[in-house]
Amino acid sequence: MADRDSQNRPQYGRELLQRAANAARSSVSVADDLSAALSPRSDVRFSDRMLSFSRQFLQSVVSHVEKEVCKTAIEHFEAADETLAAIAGSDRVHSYQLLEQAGALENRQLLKYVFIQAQKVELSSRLVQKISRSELESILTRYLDHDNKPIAEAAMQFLVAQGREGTTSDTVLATRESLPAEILHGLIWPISAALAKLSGSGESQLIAASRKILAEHDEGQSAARCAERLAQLLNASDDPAIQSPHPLLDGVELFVARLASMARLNAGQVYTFTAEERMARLIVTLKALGIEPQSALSIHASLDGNGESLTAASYQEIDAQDARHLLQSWTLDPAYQAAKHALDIPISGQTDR
Amino acid sequence: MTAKGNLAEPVRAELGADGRLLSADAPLIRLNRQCGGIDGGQLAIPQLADLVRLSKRLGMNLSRSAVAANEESTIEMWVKTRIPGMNGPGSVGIEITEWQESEAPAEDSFSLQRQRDLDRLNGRGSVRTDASLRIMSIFLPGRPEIAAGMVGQMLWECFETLPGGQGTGVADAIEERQPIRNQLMQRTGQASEKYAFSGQPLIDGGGIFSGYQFSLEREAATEAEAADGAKDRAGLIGDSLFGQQLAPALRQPLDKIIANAETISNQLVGPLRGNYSDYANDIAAAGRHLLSLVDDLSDLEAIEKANFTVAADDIDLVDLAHRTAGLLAVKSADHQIRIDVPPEEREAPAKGEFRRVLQILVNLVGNAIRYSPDGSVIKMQVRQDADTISLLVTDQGDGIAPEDQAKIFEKFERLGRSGDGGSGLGLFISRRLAEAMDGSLTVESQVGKGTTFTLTLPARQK
Repeated sequence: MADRDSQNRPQYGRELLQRAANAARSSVSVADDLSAALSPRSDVRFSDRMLSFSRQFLQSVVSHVEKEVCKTAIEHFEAADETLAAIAGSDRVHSYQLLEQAGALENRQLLKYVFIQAQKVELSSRLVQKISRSELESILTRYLDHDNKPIAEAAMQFLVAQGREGTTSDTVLATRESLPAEILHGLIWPISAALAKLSGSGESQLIAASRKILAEHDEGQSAARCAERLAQLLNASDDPAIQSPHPLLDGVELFVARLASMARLNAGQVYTFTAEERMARLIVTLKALGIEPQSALSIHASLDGNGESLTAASYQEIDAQDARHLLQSWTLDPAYQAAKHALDIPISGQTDR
Repeated sequence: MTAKGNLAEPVRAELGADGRLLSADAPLIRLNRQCGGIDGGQLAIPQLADLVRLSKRLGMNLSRSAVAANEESTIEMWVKTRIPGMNGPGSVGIEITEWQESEAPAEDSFSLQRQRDLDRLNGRGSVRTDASLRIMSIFLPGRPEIAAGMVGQMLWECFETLPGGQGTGVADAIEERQPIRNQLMQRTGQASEKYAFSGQPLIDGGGIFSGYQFSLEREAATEAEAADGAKDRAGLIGDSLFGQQLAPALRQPLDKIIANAETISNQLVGPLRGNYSDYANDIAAAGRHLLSLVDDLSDLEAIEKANFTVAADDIDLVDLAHRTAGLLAVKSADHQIRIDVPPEEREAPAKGEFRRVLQILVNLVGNAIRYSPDGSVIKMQVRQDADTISLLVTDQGDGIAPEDQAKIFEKFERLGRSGDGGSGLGLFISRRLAEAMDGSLTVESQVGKGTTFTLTLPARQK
């Protein structure tokens, strides 16, 4: 016993020293963490479910990408490292911890993307409480037989992409194919570097594999892009049978894409609107687009998760001209909007002028 | 004019490693030209250029929606980039699988065209932006090489706001989609290049803001430059009080008087009693008359200057006839006068300075409207000879007696008419301008049978 203790002691000591070193590094940011928790700077409140999903989703994305990089390095560039082979065949994430410690995942664009996925799942789960899953799945097939061939084709591509990503249910599977080009580009290089560090060899093969994956990536296959394309076609169609966008008719992803296309926003902005307090910006957007009160109330009810209701009277009270002005300000270049907020210049409709 | 609706076939383009447009299908070439691009030059459609840059930076193919606009339409596209393109490393291929055009601004293309022609007639520049204030097209008088580089950039990257102009900040005014009036701005980093911006927000058919159309007037940077500018405009009198001082000093207050009177008469700031609105109309009309007199006197000085020269632009008299008819459409409609123009497909290539030829034609057709009976027809016709090409403007007015036909080209000759808004300088200036372009301006008329003015210019070999 005593012998075993003495054998373990040096390892325990090394581990403690490592922990202490890590703690010294990470605790520098403790005030930032507390500040973010106590005084969040956005209107968005994150539920435990969203935080949990975000963590799992990010891990899953890293896992998929690292696995594919290793597979490609082995199959196409003759990488022979055992660690890489193990990662290629594993269902566990390997480089995540390293990337997290290095701060490589604290990328605003990446985190915003993860947040949008979390909000998409949140809205989908609210929707399935209001409509049966089979009903939701059946209404998504309704554009497949449309007379306009591009619409029918785009609907088929969207359905296939949704099936691949699992977005017809209340979850989103993290796959490499679903990633926008910028996100994959931002992730693959840190992951490759982490894999090179973990394996200690095969760097050139990992770089070549990453290049190959980037060159072959087709973001047009993702459900989000397919939804955008279908939305563009539906909104441009003069077919009277195509109804105004509604989550209960289109599902969350297509509804958001159609609303974004009509309002000249991007889908990420609309998802953010739905996460804000009382969904104020979503309501203003509906008003600016001239959505009828009954539809607006129904859209709000189908997306709301806090039991807040929108009344016809309060919707009608919103001045349509003011709503259009506000919506127009949100369509401005994001860099310009950010600069304006940074300069604290009053935004029209939010001042007492 | 591009085809409306959804194009069945994909629209394709290839860009070289240096970003130049090597080949493209017709709709894309047209849109590129409308955005200020030239064939074989850099891709000038901002939204596509952004996607190409991103695709090259990431080294990845992209599939995205993009919305572009020209002055007639909003074009929704589904764009795929392909790298490398067909022209080797660094090149990019573009494929647009949906190309859907819809009518864009409520302010129709005709009025935008008209505004742009008016600006050019008056020597002003123009800027058209999209909803995110990215420059879609720009015309800077005398600075074509600089203007070409601004297409696709944000307005704020190219111009800086200066103190002066309207009371509220220009950023707030734009935020609230308000008209901008005489806001002083300078070209970024060029303190000597200042412009007064005036513009209107454009709202599309769906009520959505789609950008701004600005007119801009170059401001003199220094007193010395102001004096030089005035000298340039006022060649005849040279050091005279009018040339150096009065013309520039008069234009600015007259502009303000006209603008404010129009604001009042259009009741933009609230309802007015009918006759008050009419008074404001009279003030605006009188202001415009004074302004045209100032312009005529400046032109008079300029053309009599020994070193007066004109540019030899490649112009088309049929195109200019259409623009003239557009500029005077409101005035002719007030008198139920129809202006017949040559068919659009007819070509009349000539050499002459675009702005000066437009000025001559506006003067001729303006006179024809002024002296023709209501409900009559003014005809514009083209005649091609061996080395020259002519545009004939024929009215159905009272005609001019033979003994008066030479007199009308003299300075301040009104043939006894007064109170009709004319200065007696227009035809004198027009003939001198035509001669300066190696052309001529002649008249044929019979009393009671109308008048034909013929502007002849050197023909251009196509």
